[in-house]
Amino acid sequence: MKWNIKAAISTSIAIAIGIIVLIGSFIKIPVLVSLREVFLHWAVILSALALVIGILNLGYVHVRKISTQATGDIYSVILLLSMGLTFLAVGFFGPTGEVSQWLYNNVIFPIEASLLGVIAVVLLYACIRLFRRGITLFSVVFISTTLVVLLGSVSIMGLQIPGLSGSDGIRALLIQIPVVGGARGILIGVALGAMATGLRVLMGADRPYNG
Amino acid sequence: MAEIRCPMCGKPNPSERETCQYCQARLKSMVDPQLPENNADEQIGQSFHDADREAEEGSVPDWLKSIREGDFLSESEEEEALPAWITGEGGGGFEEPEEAEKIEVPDWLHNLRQEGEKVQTSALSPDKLDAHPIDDEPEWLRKIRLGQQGDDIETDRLRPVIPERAAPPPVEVQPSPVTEEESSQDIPDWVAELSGKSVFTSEPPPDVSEKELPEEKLRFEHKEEDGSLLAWLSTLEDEDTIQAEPILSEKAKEIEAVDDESLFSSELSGLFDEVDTFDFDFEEETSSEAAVIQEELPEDIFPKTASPFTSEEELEQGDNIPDWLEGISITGEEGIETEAPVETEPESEADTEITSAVVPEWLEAYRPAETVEKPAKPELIFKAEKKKLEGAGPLAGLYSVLPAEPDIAKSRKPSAITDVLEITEKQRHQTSVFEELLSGEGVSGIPGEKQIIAPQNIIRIVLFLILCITIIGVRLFGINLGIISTPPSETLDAINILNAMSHGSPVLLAVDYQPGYTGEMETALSVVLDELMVKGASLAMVSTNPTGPAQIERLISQVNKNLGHQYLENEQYITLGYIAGGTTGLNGFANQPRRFFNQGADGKPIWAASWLSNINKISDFALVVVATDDPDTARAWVEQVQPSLENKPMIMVLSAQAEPMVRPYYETIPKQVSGMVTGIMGGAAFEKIINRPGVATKHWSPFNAAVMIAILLIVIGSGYSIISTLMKQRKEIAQEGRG
Repeated sequence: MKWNIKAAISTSIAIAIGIIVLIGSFIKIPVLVSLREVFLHWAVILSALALVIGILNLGYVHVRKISTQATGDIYSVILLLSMGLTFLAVGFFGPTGEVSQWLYNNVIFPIEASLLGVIAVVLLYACIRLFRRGITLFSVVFISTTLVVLLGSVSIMGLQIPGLSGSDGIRALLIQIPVVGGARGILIGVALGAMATGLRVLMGADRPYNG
Repeated sequence: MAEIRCPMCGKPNPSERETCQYCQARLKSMVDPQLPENNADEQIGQSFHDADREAEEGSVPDWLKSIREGDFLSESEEEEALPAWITGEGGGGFEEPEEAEKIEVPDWLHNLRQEGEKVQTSALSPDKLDAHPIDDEPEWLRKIRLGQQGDDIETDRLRPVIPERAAPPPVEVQPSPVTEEESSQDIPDWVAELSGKSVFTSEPPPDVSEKELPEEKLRFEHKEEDGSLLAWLSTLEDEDTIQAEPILSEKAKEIEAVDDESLFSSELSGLFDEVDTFDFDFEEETSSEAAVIQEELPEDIFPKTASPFTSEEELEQGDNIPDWLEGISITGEEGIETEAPVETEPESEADTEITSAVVPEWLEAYRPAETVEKPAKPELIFKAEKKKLEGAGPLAGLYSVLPAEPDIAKSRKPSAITDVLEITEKQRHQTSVFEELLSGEGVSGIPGEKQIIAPQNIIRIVLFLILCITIIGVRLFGINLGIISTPPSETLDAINILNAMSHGSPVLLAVDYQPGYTGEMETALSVVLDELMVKGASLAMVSTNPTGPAQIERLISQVNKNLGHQYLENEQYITLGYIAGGTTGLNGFANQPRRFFNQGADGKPIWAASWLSNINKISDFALVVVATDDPDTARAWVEQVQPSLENKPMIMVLSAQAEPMVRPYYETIPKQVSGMVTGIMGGAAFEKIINRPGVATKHWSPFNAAVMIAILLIVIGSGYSIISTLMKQRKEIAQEGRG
């Protein structure tokens, strides 16, 4: 059996740091807490560096697309120009400077808000056309729930529909029982998944660092 | 027991067999059955093989000669039988006319000449034949002769089919004057007489020298020289002449009975081919071998009365005709005098220099039938002429041989192999379609008609216009649709926490929403921020979103502008900046906020401010407010930061879409999230409770109107969809019922 020293070293480091951080979270030993804070600080720096690496990779991909004159390279040119100008403006004037504010107020916010507005129209149209695809139990439940929640959220001349709104209304029941129950189930599932993933990394079964 | 050796395979057969027991070749078809076996064997197929035998004589070993002695005459016997002029001892026959003159013409030959003259005369002048018919000529023979003149009906029927065969060309029968002159000059008298009278001799061509006279003449000279020629042979001419005519008549009747002219033509062609072949054989038999054998054989063995050629009376009686002769008849206007028209045609002076070659019999027999020029006059006809005689190959001389060459072994021209791909019509069509597709690939298509907007796009546009008109109309006209009378409990909890907060407390505010949700989030957050500003809270603002710092500045500026506050940066509020690393960064920030941020977003030191000097950990903040639209972000704050707050409240300002996922943290005991303000509805309810209408109140009426319109559209659209779907299903059911 061939012994991979490189994999053994990297796996040992990952397991050791994980155990130190985990123990440091539960046991307040000064050395372990200090080590935990150091490791977490390194992780934050590496995460920030990963963001920079992602930006550089994005720029490299679009530069190569322009050099090879691939289809739609004009959009790559626009992206690189915008990214460069934004980087210069934010770097020079700061993230809270006037130029940065102008870019946010006149470019980023309108574009994203428009996308959400389009989504609202599309969702409305989907609700209207839902029964065209067939009248099924789930479509009836979906439309009924939507109407109940919306009706319980609005008021006509300040008056709410009796039995729908309020803490004892149908809307509240729907939100507190099925919605909260489902959300909790999802959250518990996510927690169990995160725990299992952490244990696998600690045991060396999962080596996302390519060890 | 006597044996007959098969001429084809050479194996011995019993004498009583007519066909070979090994190869089924005919043994006795052409000879007199009364002849001795060895002579009969010799005559069978002799026309095809004698020449070969003679050619092989020189190379045949002695042992083979000894074997052949039983079947054929030995060389010595033949030489003894042959005259000296043939054996070469005394020179050539024609070159020494003096010897020929010495030979007495026998009676039989004289009679033969006379009869030949008669036949020739009758052939030359049919009118004379009619005027002076032959004595004792039967009626049927006279009719045939008349038919040969073109008067007979049967001959008229035959003429279109076999015009050349039925009527012999006159060239053959007209004696050439040149031949007469030459013969009178060069040929001895006896030869001249023979040429003019004998039916067996033919007129030599004008250019033929005496040395190149045909073998026939030599043979007859030999016969003349031999004084012991048989008398019965003299009657042969009469038999030939008389017997042939009724046979021709019979053949004409047979031909008349046949309707199919093509079949008739082919049959006749085969018939005359056989006649030609037999003519050749007969000449051979009667001229050379038969005569030699007859004269050499002793009379006790081969009596003259046993001649295969019977007299005319015997033929008329028909009783004494031997079996082998029943299938043979001899015909011809000129008796046995046969000669190809080519040989007798007068040639020009230039052609006279070229002497015509004399083809030996064996070669003649082996020549393909197509290359042999058929004599124009029929002389001899088999009764079994319907059967085709094989003229070449090892089966030569046999009848009814299955024709292999014309049908099976016929060489064919190999089919031409072309380089064109052979494809079916369907493949050709598919190829053309594919070529059209490929050719149209690089051609820009002609812009078609203006595209009609699909119905679904129209509906979407209509929906957008309805919503926009509703929102803008309510906003422009200031329509107040009223605010919810009973606020949500989470909003009340949030208001209570804010009310419980002391003046000037430090508050950590996290702005973690996407720019697209700015409209909803700022409406709800501005209400909470307004209350905090009213309380004089010191705000430390962070974000886990890269655009967070810009959003914080926009938020503060909007609140200052819309709600009349004058919060200054680094004095009442400070922007800590962007928290990198997601949950890890949040955990690190929650554990050691001072180590996580050393300076603010503007690069200035943040912890130098007086109100931040007491902040060493996250629980030193009096309140944490998290504004997010993402349930995951809310969960990260709850999981990573809330445990470090040490019972300090956490309020969440959420988007309407994130509320269901965050509500479980609010519904717990103790509450991980102390209070929530959800969307425009929560902000409006908050403003109504604090009785300070603001941005949320402004936005509530258009929002409420838009939601109601959306509900109305969903109800109408769903009803229409239900009805149309049901009608469609009923139509389909009805169509299926009809079908």
